[in-house]
Amino acid sequence: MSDMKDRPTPNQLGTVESASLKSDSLESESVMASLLMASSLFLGVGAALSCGSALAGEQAAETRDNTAEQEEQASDPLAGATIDAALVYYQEQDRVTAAEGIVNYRQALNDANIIRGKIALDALTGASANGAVIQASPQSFTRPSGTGVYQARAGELPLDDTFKDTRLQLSANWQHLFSAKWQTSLGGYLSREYDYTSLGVNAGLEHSFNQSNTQVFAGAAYYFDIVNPVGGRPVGMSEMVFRKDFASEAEFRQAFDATRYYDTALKRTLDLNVGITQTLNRRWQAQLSYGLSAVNGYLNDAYKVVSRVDSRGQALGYHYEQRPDERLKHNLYLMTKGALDSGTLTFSYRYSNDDWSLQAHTLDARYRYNLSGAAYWQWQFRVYLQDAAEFYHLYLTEGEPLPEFASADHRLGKMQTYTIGVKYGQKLEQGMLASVRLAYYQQRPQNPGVELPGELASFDQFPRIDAIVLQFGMRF
Amino acid sequence: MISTGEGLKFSSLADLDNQQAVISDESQYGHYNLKGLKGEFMAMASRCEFLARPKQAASKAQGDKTQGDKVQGDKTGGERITQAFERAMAEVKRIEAKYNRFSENSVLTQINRSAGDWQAIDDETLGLLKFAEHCYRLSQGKFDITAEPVLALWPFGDGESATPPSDCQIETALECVGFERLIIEELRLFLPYGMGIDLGGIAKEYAADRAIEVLRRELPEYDLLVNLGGDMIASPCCECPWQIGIEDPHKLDTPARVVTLKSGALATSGHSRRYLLHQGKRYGHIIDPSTGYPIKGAPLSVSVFAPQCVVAGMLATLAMLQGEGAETFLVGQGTVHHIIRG
Repeated sequence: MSDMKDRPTPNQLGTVESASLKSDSLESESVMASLLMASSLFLGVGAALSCGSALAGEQAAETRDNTAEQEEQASDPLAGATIDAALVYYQEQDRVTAAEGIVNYRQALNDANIIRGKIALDALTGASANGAVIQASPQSFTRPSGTGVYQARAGELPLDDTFKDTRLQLSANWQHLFSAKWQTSLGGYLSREYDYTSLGVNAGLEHSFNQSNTQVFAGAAYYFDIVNPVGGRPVGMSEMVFRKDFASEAEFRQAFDATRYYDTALKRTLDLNVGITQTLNRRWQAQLSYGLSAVNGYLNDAYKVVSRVDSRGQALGYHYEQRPDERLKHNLYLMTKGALDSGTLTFSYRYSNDDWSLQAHTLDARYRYNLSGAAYWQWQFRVYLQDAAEFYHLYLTEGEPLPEFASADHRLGKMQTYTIGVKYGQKLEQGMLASVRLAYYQQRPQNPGVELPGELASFDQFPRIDAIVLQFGMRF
Repeated sequence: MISTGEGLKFSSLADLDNQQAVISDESQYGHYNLKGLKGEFMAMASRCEFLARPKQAASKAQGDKTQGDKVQGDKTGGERITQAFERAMAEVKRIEAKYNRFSENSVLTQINRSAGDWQAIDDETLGLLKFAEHCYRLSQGKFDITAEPVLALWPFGDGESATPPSDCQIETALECVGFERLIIEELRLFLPYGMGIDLGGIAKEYAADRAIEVLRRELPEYDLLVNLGGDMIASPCCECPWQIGIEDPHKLDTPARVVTLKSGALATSGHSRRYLLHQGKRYGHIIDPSTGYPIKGAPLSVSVFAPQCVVAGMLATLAMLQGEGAETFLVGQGTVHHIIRG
């Protein structure tokens, strides 16, 4: 389904909560929402729903009864339109800065049909590691466009400072309830950025039984991506050429073009997902799902290189990375969610594995503490552990034949990441809900057992990344 | 006070609204008679009332338009309210007549008489049965519209020292209870022989939801309130909140707690019967139809706010059926509620 999608957004860095459809429907599993849904089937018109969400907040203040807001979804799917707007700011220390604006729109057309739309615009700027190792002397790299160079200072991780992009994402989804037991969804996705276009369709089916205590679901999504990297796609494993090594611009161009493909590359993704949600008892609910994702086409990162070093650890050249053109991923997801007197507790674990031998474990715990009917705190702690892909090479060794596949992208290397976050939500007048979230994210790339010859050992070749995420949200 | 047919009594809301009736601003004087109207009638064994009060914006506009002509404006306004109230009352009485288990001619009595065979049901009945089915599932069998045989065994009405039923009696009665044995299809129902349906737990709230719909359609520029014996619903986004007293069943001498309703519904589940004492053992007043025995620690009364009256009523009932867990349940639902325990 769409929430499994592996897209290089701030979300994907594991820092920003994604408003996925699945978790949405779980959250609204409240008896209140369920009754509203059921009653709307025979009450016809939306009855008194048009300002239902305002109700709870106002009454709470006036009756001073003990109340607690279960979830933001107190306004149920039928309470007309819900609009969520969020501004997310992501800042890595010395590296990437991302700002994202998201608007989610949700509207119940009638008892049986709900439509959702999402628009997200994000802007990324800053520098990101190009994969080359740290050296004791300054290094120069030809820019992806072939025009000019960017440099890394001695002892510093080489960063490609041209990392700049603006992306627009649009998605729409139609959910249809055939009955209380069967529902389907159909959706479309479009994202566009300077060098990348993605089109997707998805469909899902969900069945409830066992007195609505059990839901089974299945979904499929297909994405068709068009990749047009700046300056063409590098020929995999070809060596970076430098203007200074050529007498004329024309000669350099000719050599540079020999390392490039200028046609359009495609990438296709098929995601399949099946799962079951079970109510365990009055307070606890669990979900188990399995996902399969088959990807083929152009899977390289056109802007990443691998250093070729000699026995003293000195870089003699840089080769553009090459990954296999197919990838088959499996993942298993286990989640349990409990309603405590004071709030909600959620634990989840995801295991994923693929035929690049990249294994990963994700543990996530969230505790939402309701201060009153009108405010809550939510704490989050997340750990992510990943093993390196089989073709991960921190560097290539001079004198040895070039491997068929190699990438020094730290995202394919061994790493651990940690996220600690806190969110505060406050109900405002007229049923609006404001929230602010602050999270600290740390990514710790690890050495997967590579020897560090000569000068490579003098530096921390696996520097960690610290980032801060600040998010403001508003629900209308 | 005016009176029209079918026992619908009207009175001016200005009488009730004393604080607001004290007029300091001369310019508002013209709207004095537009303070609103109250209509009262009896239905579903309860005192019922409809309240209508013009929205400030609407009455201002009307005031400007009909300056020097306000008597006529009031008259037409009053007539419209009267007519709307009558239509809403007719809707309440229609539902009462259709789903009254004790009336010989009601649709529900027909259905109960046809137990043992397939029978046709209309859309409205289907909707109510589907909702009841949903609640049955949500409550894991504790809310059951077929529970009457087992509820009737517990003689709460006969004083507090009556004898509880025997296990054997309960077992026998339970044979005729169980919503899962009903087969509900598109517009037909199979009610097994010996079983019966009682929609008492839904019909009044449903009638309130329907009545507010009628009033809203006819009087869009008014703040509206429907109160059917304590189950009430206001029109959305009332400009001025309705003040409602909730009586504490065991402190009838103290003033009622006042809550305000600006939109949505408030429903109360509660019983005058409290417990049954037999040989020193105290039995609670709420029976779990899945077991046939009382639920431990049920509150005396539960009031819940929700967008719709059927939903508020059902949440109150479900909370009651949680017994000692009533508070936890409602807190978990994020509702605004009020629970009274004995």
